[in-house]
Amino acid sequence: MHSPALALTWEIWGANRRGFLVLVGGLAAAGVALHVLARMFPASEGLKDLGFLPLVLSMPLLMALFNFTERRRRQGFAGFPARLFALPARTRLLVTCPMAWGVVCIVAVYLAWALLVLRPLGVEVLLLWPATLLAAGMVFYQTIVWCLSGFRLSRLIVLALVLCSLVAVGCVPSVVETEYRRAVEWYLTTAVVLLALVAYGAALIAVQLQRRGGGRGWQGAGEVIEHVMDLLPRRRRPFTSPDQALFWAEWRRSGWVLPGGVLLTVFLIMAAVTGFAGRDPETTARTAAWLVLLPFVLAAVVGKGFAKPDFWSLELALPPFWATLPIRSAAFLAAKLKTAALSTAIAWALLLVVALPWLLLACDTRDLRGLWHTFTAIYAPVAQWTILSLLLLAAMLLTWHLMIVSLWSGLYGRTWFFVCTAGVGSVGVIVLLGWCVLMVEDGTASLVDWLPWAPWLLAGAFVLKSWGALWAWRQAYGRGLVSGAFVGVYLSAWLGATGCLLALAFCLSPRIDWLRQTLILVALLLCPLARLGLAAVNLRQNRHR
Amino acid sequence: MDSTGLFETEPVIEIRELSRRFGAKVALERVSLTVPCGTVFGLVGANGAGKTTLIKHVLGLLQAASGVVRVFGRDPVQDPVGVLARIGYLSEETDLPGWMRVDELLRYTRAFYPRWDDAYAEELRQAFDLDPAAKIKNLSKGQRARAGLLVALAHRPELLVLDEPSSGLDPIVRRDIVAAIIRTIADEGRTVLFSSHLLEEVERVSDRVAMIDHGRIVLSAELDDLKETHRRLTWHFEKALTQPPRLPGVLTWEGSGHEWSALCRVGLGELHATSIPEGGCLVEERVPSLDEIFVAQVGSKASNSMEN
Repeated sequence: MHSPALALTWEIWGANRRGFLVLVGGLAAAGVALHVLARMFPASEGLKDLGFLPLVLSMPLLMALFNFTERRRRQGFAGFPARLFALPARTRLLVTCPMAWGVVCIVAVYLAWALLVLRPLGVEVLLLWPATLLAAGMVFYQTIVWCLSGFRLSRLIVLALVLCSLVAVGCVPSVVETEYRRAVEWYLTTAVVLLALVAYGAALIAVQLQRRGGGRGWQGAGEVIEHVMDLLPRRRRPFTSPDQALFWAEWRRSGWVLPGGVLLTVFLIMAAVTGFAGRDPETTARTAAWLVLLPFVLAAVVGKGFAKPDFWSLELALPPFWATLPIRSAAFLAAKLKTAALSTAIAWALLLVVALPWLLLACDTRDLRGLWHTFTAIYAPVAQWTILSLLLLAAMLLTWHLMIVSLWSGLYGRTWFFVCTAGVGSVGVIVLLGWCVLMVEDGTASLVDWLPWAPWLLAGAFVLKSWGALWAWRQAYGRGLVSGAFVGVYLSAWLGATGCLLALAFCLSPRIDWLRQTLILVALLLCPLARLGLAAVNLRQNRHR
Repeated sequence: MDSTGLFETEPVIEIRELSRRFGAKVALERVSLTVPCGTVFGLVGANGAGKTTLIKHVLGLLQAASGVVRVFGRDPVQDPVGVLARIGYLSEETDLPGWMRVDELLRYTRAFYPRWDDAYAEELRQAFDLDPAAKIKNLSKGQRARAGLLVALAHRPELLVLDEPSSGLDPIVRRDIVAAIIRTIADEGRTVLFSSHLLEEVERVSDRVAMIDHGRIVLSAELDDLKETHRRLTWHFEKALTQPPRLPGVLTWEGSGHEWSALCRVGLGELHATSIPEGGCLVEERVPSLDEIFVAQVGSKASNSMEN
């Protein structure tokens, strides 16, 4: 290997070859599945929409593959690989090589999917404009990741803002009138390409500065942030128990992420709606729906990080510092469960305190009021407030569930296992979603045919869950991983929460049998039971490998 | 129980026939080891020999694939609380949580050890010159090692486990670590297990040494016995030799031409009883350093395996 560019290319491939194989294999399998489904349901419009899903899911994976950073152990963050600075290669080459390959791959994946899958499905899809946006997205992504390497949270926020803005810009040509569309596309393409070139220049300068041991400006900014953080109240009292100490540490590391994310996103939504979208009844209703969904969506994402022993670490193995503390494995688990509960409660409280008054006072709520009138017409006054309280509780339980649902796989401490379970779960959700879309399209009769089966399927799932729970908790208790008190407290909490959900199911649908049965079974399935027992067992495997 | 009968109490660490593989690589093979109470036990070996793997078994971070590990008579995997509460541990990596400040680290760690000694912790903090408001991630490597040592010592552990504690550190921090070992054993009944490839350190403080090579214990003995049973002998030959002479008990030969030096497992008396190299005149006999014994032991194993 005589060329430095070739060596860098080999390094990108070598470090991520499994990821590339998963990407290519997954896209190929999805493409074949879509072609087969297109023959079975030739007139399906939903299938055309579903055709975009694998492409959308492949984008974060591609960005992860071209992340091209390495963890700097001492500083505790991932930045441009500092070891490359010692190589006799120009900074331009070090920056350009991963960036160029990232752009080539993302464009190639898009074009291949558009030409080989979407167009044969009958989707009218543009080539140049989306490809330009994706290429620019990759450049922006890598620039932000390298330039803001010392700012973990700020980097995430800036990334989210830039990528969301790019999506918004991408939608602009579709909302302008047809006669101006080509011109707008041309101007936007030029602007995005120029911005990407500026970003490339910024990445070059930032990496060059890092190579010279510089970036003092950033260090200064980091120090300012640290000083500001120092002004926040800190715990100065001793801990009265190991559980309290573990909870404190878990909260400091990850507890604030969900409430912080909810608050930030609520402000962004409020600003976007106030500034651009207007406050008409329809927009208000859509905004309200998104605001309600927000904690669930964020909890599903944050929950993946929360499932790891350390939220901010890429390592899944329990660090020796924690593994050698003289405590039962279940103490770690209990700290995580408590932190997730407090996070969820604060996130929902913030949503209610900030977003609800804004919606009621500053937006046109005619559509929402119509919905409220329908609700009050169906239920008696006492039932209304009971249902609303129980709905809030159910929403919080679901958020908590999403936060802790992956603990059993994350605490196992094996990356392959964590990735595989997440992948299988995602594929399951996609398949279910696709099936629902196809069933709905096939006609109401087809869906109604399936509905009576839902309680049976859910009952089967409940039986499986019960057996799993019995096995997992017996293992955990039998091996001394959890104390009797822990089992008692958690089972009481589970019974209480499930009881509330059952009450909600009865209140919502007292008359329709199949709906009531379905809701009751969903209520029985919602609170995690088996997976937490399994989490204790798996954490032991992580601690004592 | 120790074979010499010097230590009559129950051993702090007892390992029997411990084996462990990582895929195809054999990390430990039928390792048996006893660490008596009140000793400083040095575990020496090359990088990748299996020292850290052995220590991780002692801490319960690895589960024995076959064999038995007992610490204070208990299984560290089955009873981590009972075992770890009596152990202070410092690793080469000192993977302390970087986001904590020094005072937070002390308060945090204190919560887990009922026997935490606040006065002793403060004394150590001042001795190590650690700023309580400093973040761990901003400390130098030496300072982090000191912080790790502080939390390992402040609960006055019955067993102090140090895994390559001095690796990559300056002489001043190394001095602190050696002082910590001495301080620990000054308390009656305390035991120290430490691994290192800095053999001078091991030689300075150890009572007993085990040499580990490719996952096997090649030698385990009292340091005094070890020195008693090894000699460095140098001969001058009238006629220049191209190959060293063959003698029983010799672990390694060094030299060329007229002067050859051998590291022997037996003393001169035993050598006399067998044979003296023809035409050779003994010019020097001395006690070898632990470094020389280690190189001879591990080197002889390596050459034997190559010959096989």
